[in-house]
Amino acid sequence: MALPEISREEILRYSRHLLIPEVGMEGQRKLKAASVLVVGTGGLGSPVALYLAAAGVGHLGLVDFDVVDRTNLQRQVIHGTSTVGMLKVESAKQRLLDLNPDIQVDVYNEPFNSQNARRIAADYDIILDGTDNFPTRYLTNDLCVLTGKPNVYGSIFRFDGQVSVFDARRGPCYRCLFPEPPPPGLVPSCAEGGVLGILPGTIGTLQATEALKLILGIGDPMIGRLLLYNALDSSFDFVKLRKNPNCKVCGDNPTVTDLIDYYEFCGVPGLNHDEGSAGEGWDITATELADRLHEKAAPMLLDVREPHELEISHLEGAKLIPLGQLAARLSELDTAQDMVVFCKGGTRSARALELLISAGFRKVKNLQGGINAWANQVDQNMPVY
Amino acid sequence: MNGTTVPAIKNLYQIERNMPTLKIPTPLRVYAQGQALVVLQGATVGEAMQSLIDQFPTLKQHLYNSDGNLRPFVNIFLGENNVKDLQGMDTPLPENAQLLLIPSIAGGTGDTNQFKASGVS
Repeated sequence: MALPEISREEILRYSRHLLIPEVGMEGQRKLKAASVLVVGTGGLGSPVALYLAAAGVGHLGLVDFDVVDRTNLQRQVIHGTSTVGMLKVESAKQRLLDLNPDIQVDVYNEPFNSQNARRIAADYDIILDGTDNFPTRYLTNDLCVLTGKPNVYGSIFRFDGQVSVFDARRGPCYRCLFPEPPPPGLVPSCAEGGVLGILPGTIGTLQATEALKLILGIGDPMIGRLLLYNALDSSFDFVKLRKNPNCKVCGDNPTVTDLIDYYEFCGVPGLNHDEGSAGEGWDITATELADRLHEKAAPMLLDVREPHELEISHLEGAKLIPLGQLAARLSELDTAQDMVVFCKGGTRSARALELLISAGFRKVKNLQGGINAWANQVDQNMPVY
Repeated sequence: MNGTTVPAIKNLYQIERNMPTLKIPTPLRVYAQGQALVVLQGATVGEAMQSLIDQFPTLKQHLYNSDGNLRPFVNIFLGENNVKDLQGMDTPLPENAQLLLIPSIAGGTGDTNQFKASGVS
C-alpha cells in the first residue's frame, strides 16, 4: 500500500522528526499510515496517546469505559480539571485533537471484553496495553496472539514498572512469563493499589517509544526482553524472556484458542464482589453501622487498611490489622464477637471477610463501600480518598 | 513511603562480595522489613530462596503454593535469565549472584474505583 503524503503544514509540525535520518519523510509517512489501539486512557494510556498523537501516528483508537474522576488527575495527564465528569475517551479525544488535528481518533466507550475485542482491534496494527487489571491484560495478550499483532506491554505498581513488547510471532507472549493470574487477595500482585503519579509517565513513554520503533522499523524493539524499573532505587533491570513451548495460548499445543472473560482474578471483584460488597447477607451499610454503634452490644470494628491510611480517615475505636497480616493475626480476634470489617472502599474488607469466614468466623459483616461510604453517608467532615 | 530503603541500599557495600543477593519488588518489601535488597546464603537458587524464607517467613505464602511450588505469577531470575530456563531451583549460583523476583503487576489505582473501567491505570 502506498504511504500517504505529508502536507506542507505537516512538514512544519514534524520538522524535528524529519531531521532525524531514522525517521525522515518516509518514516513520517509510515507514522501517518499507522494505527495503534490504546487499551485504557488512564495512567499509562495518557502519555502513550499524547506522544503517539504528537508524533503523528495517523489513526489512534481509545478504549475505556469510565468517566474522568478527580482522583485520576494525579497521574492521568491527558484529562484535566475541566473534563472531570466527562467520558474518559471523549476527554482524551478532545485533548488529542487539540494537540494534533491532523490525526484520526476513534473512541470505544465500552468495557473491553471477549465479545467486542476482535471487532474493536480489527482496524489497528499495534495494540498497546494500558490496562490496570488482570482480566483485560490477559484478554489483550490473547487477542494479540490469536490475531497476530504486537502487544506493547506496560504495567505499574506503586514504584515498580514493567515494559516489554510481546509478539508471539517473533517471541514470547505475556502468558509465557505469567501463565496464570494471581488468585484474589494475594500479594504481591494484589496488594492494595496506589501508584506514584509519575510512574505511569515513565512507563507509558517507554511504551510509546516501542510502538514508534515498531512502526518505523528501527532499533531493537523489546521483543524477548522485559524492562523492570524501580523508581525508589532509580534502577532499570533487563531480563531475557523466552517463548514457553507449553504456553497455553502461544505454545505448541495451545488450550486457549478463543478469547476468555475472566471474573475471578484479583484486581477485579468476583460476581459477588461488586463495588465494595462482600455479597448478599454479608454487608452492612454505613448508616446501619452508625445505628448499631449506638447500641449496647455494638460490634467491634476491624480496619484492614494499611497504617498510613489512618492519617487520612479513621473510625474511633477500630482495631487495625492490615489485610496482608490478617491470616497471621487471627488469634487476636474473637469468633464470638460481632465484628464489622472495613477498608477504603469495601474490596479489601470483602477479601478479609472471606478469610475470616473460612477460619470459622460467622458474626462478621463487611462495611459496604468502606470508610469512604461512611464519609459520604454519615460523617460529612471526613475526607473521601 | 519506605524509610528503610536507603539503609538497605547502603548495606550493599557492607555485604561479603561473594554472597548472592535478591532484589525485592516494592509490593513485597513490607514482608522483608522494608528492604530493597537482601543478602542470601546457599549454593543453589533453591537454597538461596530457603534462606530468604528463613529470614522473612511471612514472604513464603506470597511466593509459594501450599504444595511448595513457586506461584505461577512469580518468577525468579538469575541475572537476566529465568531460572525456569536454567535448572530451576537446582540452578547453581555463581559468586556475586544477583537474583531478581518478578511478580505480575496489574496497575495501581486503588480498590473499588478501578472496577468501573476496563482500563485505567
